[in-house]
Amino acid sequence: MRILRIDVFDPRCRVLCALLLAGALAAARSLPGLLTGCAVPVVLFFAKGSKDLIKNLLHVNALTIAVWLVLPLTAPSGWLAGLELAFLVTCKLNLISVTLIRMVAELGIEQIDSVLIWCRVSEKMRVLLLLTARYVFLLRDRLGTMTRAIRLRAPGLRGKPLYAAFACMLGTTLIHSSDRAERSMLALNCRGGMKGFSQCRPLNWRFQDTLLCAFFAANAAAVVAVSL
Amino acid sequence: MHISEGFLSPQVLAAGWVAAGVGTAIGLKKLDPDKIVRVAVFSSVFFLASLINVPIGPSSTHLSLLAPMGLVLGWSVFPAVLVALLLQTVLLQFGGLLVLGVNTVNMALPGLIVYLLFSSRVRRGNAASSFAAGFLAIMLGALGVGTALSLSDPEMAGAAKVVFAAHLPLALVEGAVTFFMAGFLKKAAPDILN
Repeated sequence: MRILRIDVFDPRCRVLCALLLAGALAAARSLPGLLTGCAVPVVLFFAKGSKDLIKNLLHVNALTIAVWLVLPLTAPSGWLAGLELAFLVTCKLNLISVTLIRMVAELGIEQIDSVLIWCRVSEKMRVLLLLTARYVFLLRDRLGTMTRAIRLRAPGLRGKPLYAAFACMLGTTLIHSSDRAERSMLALNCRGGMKGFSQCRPLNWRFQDTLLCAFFAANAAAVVAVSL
Repeated sequence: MHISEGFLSPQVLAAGWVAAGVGTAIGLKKLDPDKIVRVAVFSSVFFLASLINVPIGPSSTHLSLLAPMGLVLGWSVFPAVLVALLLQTVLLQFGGLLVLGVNTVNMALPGLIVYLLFSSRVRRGNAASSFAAGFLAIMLGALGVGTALSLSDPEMAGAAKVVFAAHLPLALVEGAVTFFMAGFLKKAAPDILN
Protein backbone atom coordinates (compact mmCIF):
# COMPACT_ATOMS: atom_id res chain seq x y z
CA MET A 1 0.00 0.00 0.00
CA ARG A 2 1.28 3.44 -0.92
CA ILE A 3 1.64 5.58 2.20
CA LEU A 4 4.03 8.27 0.93
CA ARG A 5 4.53 9.76 -2.55
CA ILE A 6 8.28 10.21 -3.13
CA ASP A 7 7.61 11.03 -6.78
CA VAL A 8 6.31 14.51 -5.92
CA PHE A 9 9.81 15.68 -4.96
CA ASP A 10 12.23 17.25 -7.42
CA PRO A 11 14.82 14.74 -8.77
CA ARG A 12 17.68 17.03 -7.64
CA CYS A 13 16.25 17.05 -4.13
CA ARG A 14 15.93 13.26 -4.12
CA VAL A 15 19.53 12.73 -5.25
CA LEU A 16 20.89 15.31 -2.79
CA CYS A 17 18.93 13.86 0.15
CA ALA A 18 19.88 10.29 -0.73
CA LEU A 19 23.58 11.10 -0.97
CA LEU A 20 23.51 13.04 2.31
CA LEU A 21 21.92 10.23 4.29
CA ALA A 22 23.78 7.41 2.51
CA GLY A 23 27.09 9.21 3.14
CA ALA A 24 26.27 9.60 6.84
CA LEU A 25 25.26 5.92 7.10
CA ALA A 26 28.49 4.89 5.35
CA ALA A 27 30.46 6.93 7.90
CA ALA A 28 28.68 5.34 10.90
CA ARG A 29 31.03 3.07 12.87
CA SER A 30 28.59 1.90 15.53
CA LEU A 31 25.14 0.38 15.88
CA PRO A 32 23.63 3.42 17.73
CA GLY A 33 24.63 5.62 14.79
CA LEU A 34 22.92 3.29 12.36
CA LEU A 35 19.83 3.08 14.57
CA THR A 36 19.61 6.89 14.50
CA GLY A 37 19.54 6.84 10.73
CA CYS A 38 17.35 3.79 10.14
CA ALA A 39 13.95 5.53 10.44
CA VAL A 40 14.07 7.10 6.97
CA PRO A 41 15.10 3.90 5.11
CA VAL A 42 12.34 1.99 6.95
CA VAL A 43 9.74 4.58 5.88
CA LEU A 44 11.14 4.49 2.33
CA PHE A 45 10.92 0.70 2.33
CA PHE A 46 7.16 0.86 2.93
CA ALA A 47 6.62 3.99 0.81
CA LYS A 48 5.74 2.03 -2.33
CA GLY A 49 5.05 -1.56 -3.25
CA SER A 50 7.93 -3.53 -1.73
CA LYS A 51 7.91 -6.64 -3.97
CA ASP A 52 10.60 -5.48 -6.41
CA LEU A 53 12.62 -3.89 -3.65
CA ILE A 54 12.64 -7.13 -1.64
CA LYS A 55 13.81 -8.98 -4.76
CA ASN A 56 16.63 -6.46 -5.20
CA LEU A 57 17.57 -6.65 -1.53
CA LEU A 58 17.70 -10.46 -1.66
CA HIS A 59 20.08 -10.13 -4.59
CA VAL A 60 22.21 -7.55 -2.73
CA ASN A 61 22.23 -9.71 0.41
CA ALA A 62 23.45 -12.84 -1.40
CA LEU A 63 26.94 -11.43 -0.90
CA THR A 64 26.47 -11.05 2.84
CA ILE A 65 26.43 -14.86 3.29
CA ALA A 66 30.10 -14.86 2.26
CA VAL A 67 30.74 -11.86 4.53
CA TRP A 68 29.26 -13.68 7.56
CA LEU A 69 31.41 -16.73 6.78
CA VAL A 70 34.70 -14.99 5.98
CA LEU A 71 34.87 -12.06 8.41
CA PRO A 72 34.63 -14.08 11.69
CA LEU A 73 37.33 -16.45 10.41
CA THR A 74 39.74 -13.76 9.22
CA ALA A 75 39.31 -10.77 11.57
CA PRO A 76 42.65 -10.10 13.36
CA SER A 77 40.85 -9.20 16.64
CA GLY A 78 39.02 -12.52 16.83
CA TRP A 79 35.78 -14.08 15.67
CA LEU A 80 33.55 -11.90 17.86
CA ALA A 81 34.93 -8.70 16.31
CA GLY A 82 34.44 -10.30 12.90
CA LEU A 83 30.81 -11.11 13.70
CA GLU A 84 30.20 -7.56 14.94
CA LEU A 85 31.72 -6.15 11.76
CA ALA A 86 29.66 -8.51 9.57
CA PHE A 87 26.48 -7.39 11.37
CA LEU A 88 27.41 -3.70 11.00
CA VAL A 89 28.23 -4.12 7.29
CA THR A 90 24.96 -6.01 6.66
CA CYS A 91 22.92 -3.27 8.36
CA LYS A 92 24.75 -0.52 6.45
CA LEU A 93 24.38 -2.39 3.16
CA ASN A 94 20.61 -2.73 3.56
CA LEU A 95 19.94 0.78 4.88
CA ILE A 96 22.05 2.47 2.19
CA SER A 97 20.64 0.24 -0.55
CA VAL A 98 17.02 0.99 0.39
CA THR A 99 17.75 4.73 0.51
CA LEU A 100 19.56 4.83 -2.83
CA ILE A 101 17.19 2.48 -4.68
CA ARG A 102 14.07 4.36 -3.56
CA MET A 103 15.47 7.89 -3.92
CA VAL A 104 17.80 7.60 -6.94
CA ALA A 105 17.55 4.32 -8.86
CA GLU A 106 13.76 4.61 -9.16
CA LEU A 107 14.14 8.02 -10.82
CA GLY A 108 15.03 6.35 -14.12
CA ILE A 109 17.76 7.25 -16.61
CA GLU A 110 15.99 10.27 -18.13
CA GLN A 111 15.54 12.05 -14.79
CA ILE A 112 19.07 11.14 -13.71
CA ASP A 113 20.21 12.77 -16.97
CA SER A 114 18.31 15.93 -15.99
CA VAL A 115 20.10 15.95 -12.64
CA LEU A 116 23.45 15.49 -14.42
CA ILE A 117 22.68 18.49 -16.64
CA TRP A 118 21.96 20.53 -13.52
CA CYS A 119 25.29 19.32 -12.05
CA ARG A 120 27.00 20.58 -15.25
CA VAL A 121 28.36 17.15 -16.14
CA SER A 122 30.05 17.24 -19.55
CA GLU A 123 27.80 16.69 -22.57
CA LYS A 124 30.06 13.89 -23.84
CA MET A 125 29.46 11.99 -20.60
CA ARG A 126 25.68 12.45 -20.72
CA VAL A 127 25.45 11.45 -24.36
CA LEU A 128 27.57 8.40 -23.56
CA LEU A 129 25.19 7.48 -20.72
CA LEU A 130 22.05 7.85 -22.84
CA LEU A 131 23.50 5.99 -25.81
CA THR A 132 24.85 3.18 -23.63
CA ALA A 133 21.46 2.78 -21.93
CA ARG A 134 19.78 2.68 -25.34
CA TYR A 135 22.19 0.10 -26.77
CA VAL A 136 21.98 -2.09 -23.66
CA PHE A 137 18.30 -2.66 -24.42
CA LEU A 138 18.91 -2.99 -28.17
CA LEU A 139 21.75 -5.51 -27.88
CA ARG A 140 20.36 -7.50 -24.95
CA ASP A 141 18.19 -9.71 -27.15
CA ARG A 142 20.95 -10.31 -29.69
CA LEU A 143 23.47 -11.43 -27.05
CA GLY A 144 20.80 -13.54 -25.32
CA THR A 145 19.98 -15.31 -28.60
CA MET A 146 23.65 -16.05 -29.27
CA THR A 147 24.21 -17.40 -25.75
CA ARG A 148 21.14 -19.65 -26.13
CA ALA A 149 22.49 -20.84 -29.49
CA ILE A 150 25.81 -21.87 -27.92
CA ARG A 151 24.03 -23.75 -25.12
CA LEU A 152 21.61 -25.47 -27.54
CA ARG A 153 24.25 -26.52 -30.04
CA ALA A 154 26.74 -27.76 -27.48
CA PRO A 155 25.15 -28.21 -24.03
CA GLY A 156 28.02 -30.36 -22.79
CA LEU A 157 30.76 -27.94 -23.83
CA ARG A 158 33.34 -27.39 -21.07
CA GLY A 159 36.78 -25.83 -20.63
CA LYS A 160 38.81 -24.50 -23.55
CA PRO A 161 36.24 -25.06 -26.37
CA LEU A 162 33.56 -23.35 -24.28
CA TYR A 163 35.73 -20.29 -23.60
CA ALA A 164 36.67 -20.16 -27.31
CA ALA A 165 32.96 -20.26 -28.24
CA PHE A 166 32.12 -17.43 -25.81
CA ALA A 167 35.11 -15.37 -27.00
CA CYS A 168 34.07 -15.77 -30.67
CA MET A 169 30.48 -14.89 -29.81
CA LEU A 170 31.62 -11.71 -28.04
CA GLY A 171 34.01 -10.89 -30.88
CA THR A 172 31.19 -11.30 -33.43
CA THR A 173 28.92 -9.04 -31.36
CA LEU A 174 31.68 -6.42 -31.17
CA ILE A 175 32.16 -6.45 -34.95
CA HIS A 176 28.42 -6.13 -35.61
CA SER A 177 28.22 -3.39 -32.97
CA SER A 178 31.11 -1.52 -34.58
CA ASP A 179 29.27 -1.48 -37.92
CA ARG A 180 26.08 -0.39 -36.20
CA ALA A 181 27.93 2.40 -34.34
CA GLU A 182 29.29 3.78 -37.62
CA ARG A 183 25.81 3.81 -39.19
CA SER A 184 24.31 5.41 -36.04
CA MET A 185 27.01 8.11 -36.02
CA LEU A 186 26.32 8.85 -39.67
CA ALA A 187 22.59 9.14 -38.93
CA LEU A 188 23.27 11.41 -35.96
CA ASN A 189 25.52 13.66 -38.04
CA CYS A 190 22.82 13.89 -40.72
CA ARG A 191 20.40 15.12 -38.03
CA GLY A 192 22.76 17.83 -36.83
CA GLY A 193 25.30 15.98 -34.69
CA MET A 194 25.53 15.60 -30.93
CA LYS A 195 24.72 19.21 -30.06
CA GLY A 196 21.45 19.17 -28.19
CA PHE A 197 21.27 15.36 -28.24
CA SER A 198 20.24 15.41 -24.61
CA GLN A 199 17.53 17.96 -23.75
CA CYS A 200 16.96 19.06 -20.18
CA ARG A 201 13.54 18.16 -18.77
CA PRO A 202 11.90 20.98 -16.80
CA LEU A 203 12.74 20.74 -13.12
CA ASN A 204 10.80 22.48 -10.43
CA TRP A 205 12.31 23.04 -6.97
CA ARG A 206 9.60 23.86 -4.45
CA PHE A 207 9.41 24.66 -0.75
CA GLN A 208 8.65 21.03 0.10
CA ASP A 209 11.97 20.06 -1.52
CA THR A 210 13.84 22.49 0.71
CA LEU A 211 12.04 21.05 3.73
CA LEU A 212 12.93 17.49 2.73
CA CYS A 213 16.59 18.47 2.25
CA ALA A 214 16.65 20.13 5.69
CA PHE A 215 15.11 17.01 7.26
CA PHE A 216 17.62 14.68 5.61
CA ALA A 217 20.52 16.99 6.52
CA ALA A 218 19.40 16.99 10.17
CA ASN A 219 19.05 13.22 10.11
CA ALA A 220 22.51 12.80 8.55
CA ALA A 221 24.03 15.18 11.11
CA ALA A 222 22.41 13.17 13.93
CA VAL A 223 23.87 9.92 12.54
CA VAL A 224 27.36 11.44 12.37
CA ALA A 225 27.04 13.02 15.84
CA VAL A 226 25.96 9.75 17.47
CA SER A 227 28.67 7.80 15.62
CA LEU A 228 31.51 10.06 16.77
CA MET B 1 34.62 -7.49 -8.47
CA HIS B 2 31.94 -5.06 -7.35
CA ILE B 3 32.22 -3.75 -3.82
CA SER B 4 28.77 -3.22 -2.34
CA GLU B 5 27.60 -0.34 -0.18
CA GLY B 6 28.50 -0.39 3.51
CA PHE B 7 31.99 -1.91 3.25
CA LEU B 8 34.14 1.15 2.65
CA SER B 9 35.06 4.12 4.84
CA PRO B 10 34.18 7.67 3.71
CA GLN B 11 37.88 8.44 3.15
CA VAL B 12 38.28 5.51 0.73
CA LEU B 13 34.99 6.41 -0.99
CA ALA B 14 36.17 10.00 -1.44
CA ALA B 15 39.58 8.91 -2.75
CA GLY B 16 37.83 6.57 -5.20
CA TRP B 17 35.64 9.39 -6.52
CA VAL B 18 38.65 11.70 -6.97
CA ALA B 19 40.64 9.03 -8.86
CA ALA B 20 37.63 8.06 -10.98
CA GLY B 21 36.94 11.74 -11.71
CA VAL B 22 40.51 12.35 -12.87
CA GLY B 23 40.55 9.20 -15.02
CA THR B 24 37.15 9.99 -16.53
CA ALA B 25 38.11 13.62 -17.26
CA ILE B 26 41.25 12.48 -19.11
CA GLY B 27 39.28 9.76 -20.90
CA LEU B 28 36.61 12.24 -22.03
CA LYS B 29 39.22 14.76 -23.15
CA LYS B 30 40.92 12.13 -25.30
CA LEU B 31 37.58 10.84 -26.65
CA ASP B 32 36.94 11.99 -30.21
CA PRO B 33 33.25 13.14 -30.43
CA ASP B 34 32.87 11.02 -33.59
CA LYS B 35 33.77 7.92 -31.55
CA ILE B 36 31.18 8.43 -28.77
CA VAL B 37 28.62 6.12 -30.39
CA ARG B 38 31.27 3.44 -30.86
CA VAL B 39 32.34 3.69 -27.21
CA ALA B 40 28.69 3.59 -26.10
CA VAL B 41 27.96 0.50 -28.18
CA PHE B 42 31.11 -1.29 -26.99
CA SER B 43 30.33 -0.26 -23.42
CA SER B 44 26.86 -1.79 -23.69
CA VAL B 45 28.27 -5.00 -25.20
CA PHE B 46 30.68 -5.33 -22.27
CA PHE B 47 27.87 -4.48 -19.83
CA LEU B 48 25.73 -7.28 -21.28
CA ALA B 49 28.59 -9.75 -21.63
CA SER B 50 29.33 -9.35 -17.94
CA LEU B 51 25.86 -10.77 -17.22
CA ILE B 52 26.57 -14.07 -18.99
CA ASN B 53 27.37 -16.93 -16.66
CA VAL B 54 30.26 -19.12 -17.73
CA PRO B 55 30.81 -22.56 -16.12
CA ILE B 56 34.03 -22.80 -14.13
CA GLY B 57 34.65 -26.17 -12.49
CA PRO B 58 31.59 -27.25 -10.48
CA SER B 59 30.44 -23.63 -10.17
CA SER B 60 29.90 -20.74 -12.57
CA THR B 61 30.98 -17.12 -12.74
CA HIS B 62 30.25 -14.06 -14.82
CA LEU B 63 32.90 -12.55 -17.05
CA SER B 64 34.34 -9.11 -16.32
CA LEU B 65 36.11 -8.57 -19.66
CA LEU B 66 38.36 -5.86 -18.19
CA ALA B 67 41.26 -6.62 -20.55
CA PRO B 68 39.27 -6.74 -23.83
CA MET B 69 37.53 -3.54 -22.75
CA GLY B 70 40.88 -1.82 -22.06
CA LEU B 71 42.47 -3.13 -25.26
CA VAL B 72 39.55 -1.98 -27.44
CA LEU B 73 38.72 1.33 -25.73
CA GLY B 74 42.11 2.61 -24.47
CA TRP B 75 41.73 5.74 -22.34
CA SER B 76 37.97 5.76 -23.03
CA VAL B 77 37.72 2.78 -20.69
CA PHE B 78 37.26 5.15 -17.70
CA PRO B 79 34.07 6.92 -18.92
CA ALA B 80 32.81 3.65 -20.43
CA VAL B 81 33.22 1.74 -17.15
CA LEU B 82 31.73 4.61 -15.12
CA VAL B 83 28.64 4.68 -17.36
CA ALA B 84 28.32 0.87 -17.44
CA LEU B 85 28.56 0.66 -13.63
CA LEU B 86 26.07 3.51 -13.19
CA LEU B 87 23.63 1.63 -15.41
CA GLN B 88 24.25 -1.61 -13.52
CA THR B 89 23.50 0.25 -10.28
CA VAL B 90 20.36 1.93 -11.59
CA LEU B 91 18.96 -0.97 -13.63
CA LEU B 92 20.14 -4.02 -11.68
CA GLN B 93 21.23 -2.70 -8.27
CA PHE B 94 24.71 -4.27 -8.65
CA GLY B 95 27.36 -2.33 -6.70
CA GLY B 96 26.06 1.04 -5.52
CA LEU B 97 26.19 4.78 -6.04
CA LEU B 98 28.52 5.70 -3.18
CA VAL B 99 31.01 2.99 -4.17
CA LEU B 100 30.75 3.85 -7.87
CA GLY B 101 34.04 5.80 -7.79
CA VAL B 102 36.04 2.99 -6.16
CA ASN B 103 34.44 0.34 -8.39
CA THR B 104 35.21 2.43 -11.48
CA VAL B 105 38.88 2.71 -10.50
CA ASN B 106 39.07 -1.01 -9.65
CA MET B 107 37.74 -1.97 -13.08
CA ALA B 108 38.94 0.79 -15.40
CA LEU B 109 42.51 1.19 -14.11
CA PRO B 110 43.46 -2.48 -14.79
CA GLY B 111 41.94 -2.12 -18.27
CA LEU B 112 44.02 1.00 -18.88
CA ILE B 113 47.19 -0.63 -17.50
CA VAL B 114 46.86 -3.68 -19.78
CA TYR B 115 46.15 -1.33 -22.70
CA LEU B 116 49.37 0.59 -22.02
CA LEU B 117 51.40 -2.60 -21.44
CA PHE B 118 50.06 -5.03 -24.02
CA SER B 119 48.05 -3.27 -26.78
CA SER B 120 50.88 -3.10 -29.33
CA ARG B 121 51.87 -6.75 -28.73
CA VAL B 122 48.24 -7.94 -28.89
CA ARG B 123 47.80 -6.04 -32.19
CA ARG B 124 50.83 -7.88 -33.57
CA GLY B 125 49.09 -11.16 -32.66
CA ASN B 126 51.19 -12.16 -29.66
CA ALA B 127 49.00 -14.86 -28.05
CA ALA B 128 50.88 -14.96 -24.73
CA SER B 129 50.35 -11.21 -24.29
CA SER B 130 46.59 -11.61 -24.82
CA PHE B 131 46.41 -14.26 -22.12
CA ALA B 132 48.66 -12.23 -19.80
CA ALA B 133 46.50 -9.13 -20.35
CA GLY B 134 43.31 -10.98 -19.37
CA PHE B 135 44.93 -12.62 -16.35
CA LEU B 136 46.68 -9.48 -15.12
CA ALA B 137 43.61 -7.26 -15.48
CA ILE B 138 41.57 -9.46 -13.14
CA MET B 139 44.35 -9.83 -10.59
CA LEU B 140 44.92 -6.03 -10.59
CA GLY B 141 41.19 -5.53 -10.12
CA ALA B 142 41.20 -8.00 -7.21
CA LEU B 143 44.21 -6.19 -5.76
CA GLY B 144 42.26 -2.93 -5.96
CA VAL B 145 39.26 -4.49 -4.20
CA GLY B 146 41.51 -5.96 -1.49
CA THR B 147 43.34 -2.67 -0.98
CA ALA B 148 40.11 -0.70 -0.69
CA LEU B 149 38.75 -3.16 1.90
CA SER B 150 42.00 -3.22 3.92
CA LEU B 151 42.25 0.58 3.95
CA SER B 152 38.64 0.92 5.09
CA ASP B 153 38.96 -1.32 8.13
CA PRO B 154 42.00 -3.26 9.39
CA GLU B 155 39.59 -6.04 10.45
CA MET B 156 38.91 -6.66 6.75
CA ALA B 157 42.58 -7.31 5.89
CA GLY B 158 42.15 -11.10 6.17
CA ALA B 159 38.97 -11.02 4.09
CA ALA B 160 40.81 -8.91 1.49
CA LYS B 161 43.39 -11.71 1.08
CA VAL B 162 40.57 -14.24 0.63
CA VAL B 163 38.96 -11.99 -2.00
CA PHE B 164 42.27 -11.72 -3.86
CA ALA B 165 42.83 -15.50 -3.85
CA ALA B 166 39.23 -16.18 -4.89
CA HIS B 167 39.77 -14.22 -8.11
CA LEU B 168 42.53 -16.58 -9.33
CA PRO B 169 40.21 -19.04 -11.19
CA LEU B 170 38.34 -16.13 -12.79
CA ALA B 171 41.68 -14.63 -13.88
CA LEU B 172 42.58 -17.88 -15.67
CA VAL B 173 39.19 -17.98 -17.43
CA GLU B 174 39.46 -14.32 -18.39
CA GLY B 175 42.98 -14.93 -19.69
CA ALA B 176 41.64 -17.74 -21.91
CA VAL B 177 38.65 -15.69 -23.14
CA THR B 178 40.90 -12.66 -23.87
CA PHE B 179 43.34 -14.95 -25.72
CA PHE B 180 40.58 -16.37 -27.98
CA MET B 181 38.83 -13.03 -28.40
CA ALA B 182 42.01 -11.17 -29.41
CA GLY B 183 42.82 -13.96 -31.89
CA PHE B 184 39.32 -13.76 -33.37
CA LEU B 185 39.37 -9.96 -33.65
CA LYS B 186 42.89 -9.99 -35.15
CA LYS B 187 41.61 -12.26 -37.95
CA ALA B 188 38.08 -10.88 -38.43
CA ALA B 189 38.34 -7.14 -37.68
CA PRO B 190 41.87 -5.96 -36.81
CA ASP B 191 40.76 -2.30 -36.95
CA ILE B 192 38.77 -2.77 -33.70
CA LEU B 193 42.03 -3.44 -31.84
CA ASN B 194 43.55 -0.29 -33.32
